[in-house]
Amino acid sequence: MTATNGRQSLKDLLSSRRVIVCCGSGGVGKTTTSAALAMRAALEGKRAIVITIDPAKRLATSLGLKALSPSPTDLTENVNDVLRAQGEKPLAGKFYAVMPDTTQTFEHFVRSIAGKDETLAKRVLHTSIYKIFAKEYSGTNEYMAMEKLYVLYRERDFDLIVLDTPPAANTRAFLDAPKLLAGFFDDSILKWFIAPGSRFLASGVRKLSEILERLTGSGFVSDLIEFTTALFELRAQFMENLTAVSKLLHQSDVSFLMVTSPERLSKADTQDFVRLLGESGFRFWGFVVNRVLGRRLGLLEDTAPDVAALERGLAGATPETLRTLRAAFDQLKPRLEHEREAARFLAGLAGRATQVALVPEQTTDVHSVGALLGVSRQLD
Amino acid sequence: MTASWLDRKLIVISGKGGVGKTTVAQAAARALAARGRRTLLIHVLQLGEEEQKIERLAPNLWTVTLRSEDCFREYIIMKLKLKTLYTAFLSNKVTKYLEKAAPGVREIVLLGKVWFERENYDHVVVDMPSTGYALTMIHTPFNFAALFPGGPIYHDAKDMIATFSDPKQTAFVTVSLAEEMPIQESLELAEELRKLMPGNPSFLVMNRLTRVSADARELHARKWAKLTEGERASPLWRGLDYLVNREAKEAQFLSSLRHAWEPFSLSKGPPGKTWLEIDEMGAGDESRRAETIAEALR
Repeated sequence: MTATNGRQSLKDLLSSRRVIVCCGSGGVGKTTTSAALAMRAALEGKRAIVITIDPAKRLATSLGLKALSPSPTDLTENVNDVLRAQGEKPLAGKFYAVMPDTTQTFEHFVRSIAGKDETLAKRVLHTSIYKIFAKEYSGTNEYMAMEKLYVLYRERDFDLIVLDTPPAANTRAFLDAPKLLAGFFDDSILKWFIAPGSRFLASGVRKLSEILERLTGSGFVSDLIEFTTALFELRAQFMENLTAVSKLLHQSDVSFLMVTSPERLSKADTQDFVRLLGESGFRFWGFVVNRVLGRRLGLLEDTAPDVAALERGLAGATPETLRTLRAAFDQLKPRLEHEREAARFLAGLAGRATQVALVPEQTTDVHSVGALLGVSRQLD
Repeated sequence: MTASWLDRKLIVISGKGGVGKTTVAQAAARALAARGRRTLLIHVLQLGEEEQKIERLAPNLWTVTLRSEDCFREYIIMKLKLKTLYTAFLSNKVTKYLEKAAPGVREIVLLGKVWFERENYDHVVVDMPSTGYALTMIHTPFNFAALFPGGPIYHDAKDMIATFSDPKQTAFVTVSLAEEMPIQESLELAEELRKLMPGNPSFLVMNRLTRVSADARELHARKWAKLTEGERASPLWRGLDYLVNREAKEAQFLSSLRHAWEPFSLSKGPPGKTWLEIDEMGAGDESRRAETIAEALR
């Protein structure tokens, strides 16, 4: 773990923030890192919780559960059992986990905004359009995660909340979600659909709908309009929620970090995310880079390994042994080279206050409390 | 059912992000082109992905990058046969909103383009987005066919479904690594596709498998336990240890998977195998990767 002079280490981050938002694309170990961060804070004496969307239930399995619950679950004892077995002190703090209910994402989203207005929710949900729409519509998982964060933050039960952002193809997805959803509630566009004071269609729209109808058949457009109109009535509540969450994410006790891995690092995606984060005025801590093989092998990430010198270090080895070792090492060289290149890129991208934390490739899959504890101890 | 997915007209490739879908799609397309088959490789852009220019890779091999906005435009011009109408239609703010908000329209149009191109080539290999969005895309013709009868989109949707469901014409291939998360996504994708198209189960490719020489395995077995602290700290020994363990772990994972196979109703891979295996290779090994696929699926 690198903590250059004057820079804030992960450990310092954990003690000085109330919220840490972990972003990153799929398959980089984001959920593991998020859980390990919360566990680390618990080791340091905090009441910590990880909010995660863990559809594969891998974290749940690791923690010895069938599934994570949508209400905060105290897992301190699960961790303590393992700590005791390792001959270590129990957690000085508390470790909780929670998984927002995203089972039927869009329906849940609509119901959560509609609140007590059952009829309105039903009007949105009865259309055929909804059946297409409901399939993982972009942004809804993110919204549910944000809302869970907001509620937990306001309740003030926790010293630290780590938010594992929902799985997405690109890192910026979490930041884009509010805008995507807000697009459906855009007054300037929606008013075209509805003549003032009534629910009749504005005439210009009718013409345009006729054209779209020529492509899609008659049911589609009328259904779309019914759906949109009903959705329109939910806009005030939605906008209010969104403003509140956005205000929270901009607070000084909230930091963002990006989880990545050398093999999955996309330069364009990373640059895009960092730029957008800056533009949006969020606080960026830096990068957590998982699965760094060089770290596991005990190599520096900035210089190419001197294999001849490494061989000289093994004085007792026979020439055959050295030959086999060298051949195996050669197999790893492209990956190591790629890692150095990735580390250079991130260091070059990192601004004055930005950190790069490198986590070694783990010996075993992180599939148990013990393994999670192992990772959390490596986060410094 | 035909012997190998490489023989099918339309080869649709997906999998979890980062498993090497693009390299597998390219290798499959190369293998086909090398057999003298006119092949089109389509790279479907993921949301937010930057456009990449793919060069013409080899004789008989053409590539194109698809973006949903462009397909929508093309489709409207084709179906409504009026360019001026299209411009008036699309430049309107409201229509832009409709296009964005009308769920599935972009996806079905993009898929329609893929489907349409099969007429122009011997084979079309599609490098799809990762599992979630790929599934959403493949769902769209089924949704439109079921929910909105009438109109050109409905009729195209019906035709697309017929092509996709036919194991003589279309192969769905899911790429994975010998790791839990990618395989879980692959199996979920295969299961969802099986629900849509019971007669055309997916194929599986295990990509980037670790292979260690017998010498290396033997050396590790003989010496590792007896090494001193200092020797074990050497990156050379640690590298060997990593490779040997990784290979063993993958092998163990794959054998546990073999037992869990039946419920997922996937198609058998190469003769006598459940899936196609491709070893970890460097970036410069495109032709060797293509040969592996061609050889295994001959």
